[in-house]
Amino acid sequence: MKKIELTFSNTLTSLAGNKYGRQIYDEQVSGLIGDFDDVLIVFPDQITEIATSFLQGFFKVPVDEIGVEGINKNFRYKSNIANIDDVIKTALITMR
Amino acid sequence: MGETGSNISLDVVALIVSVVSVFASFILTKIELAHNDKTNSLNLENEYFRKVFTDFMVNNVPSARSALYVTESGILSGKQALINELHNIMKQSLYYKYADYEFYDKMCDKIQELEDFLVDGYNEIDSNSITDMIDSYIESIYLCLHNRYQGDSMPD
Repeated sequence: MKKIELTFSNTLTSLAGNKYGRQIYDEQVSGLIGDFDDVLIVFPDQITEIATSFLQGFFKVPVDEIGVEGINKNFRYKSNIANIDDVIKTALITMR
Repeated sequence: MGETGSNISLDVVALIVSVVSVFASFILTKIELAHNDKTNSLNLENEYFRKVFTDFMVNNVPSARSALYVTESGILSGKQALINELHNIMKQSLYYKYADYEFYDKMCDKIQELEDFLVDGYNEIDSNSITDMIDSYIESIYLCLHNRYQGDSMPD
């Protein structure tokens, strides 16, 4: 399993914005996960809210590579946000 | 020749009138069928629209909006119910992602503008303006839905 621990400014508690999601993917994830097989994304404890816009930007490249079903099958998440799996599924299925 | 010729002319005129009548009848029937098809299609479309969006607009959003409040320290509380409604309607209206992509894209943009504000953006404005801004975002979503229902062009 490839474990990727995302980092953010200490003062940041919420994530929003498609462009920002894409930026974080490019800066902290791109190039690290290769074939997208068995990936654990760890959101830091300080992050208590994530908007679907951020997630759609963050997952744009993986969705283009392996599709929504591929992500559901290969990606796992660790977060303080109780419904993180549901929010990510909503973001993925409604992605344009 | 005179009377016979006149009879033939009348027969020809009668034949032409008959053919034109049949042709006109055929065209009118086709137009009526096309109109009925369009009406049925619009009725089906409007029925589906109402099924998807009525509760969202009439009950769910107003109810979730009423749970919002800004604390004395400027924190926006009670927002999860509204965020959940925004997520639900994006999923429940997925039909339009395939039936009318332009509308679905525009609607989701407006929904996500509100979600971004609820999650993150409200920190950046005066606390006295937070609920006004939320109402403005909701109005924008409703206008987008109203215009789609009316068949008008969508606002930017």
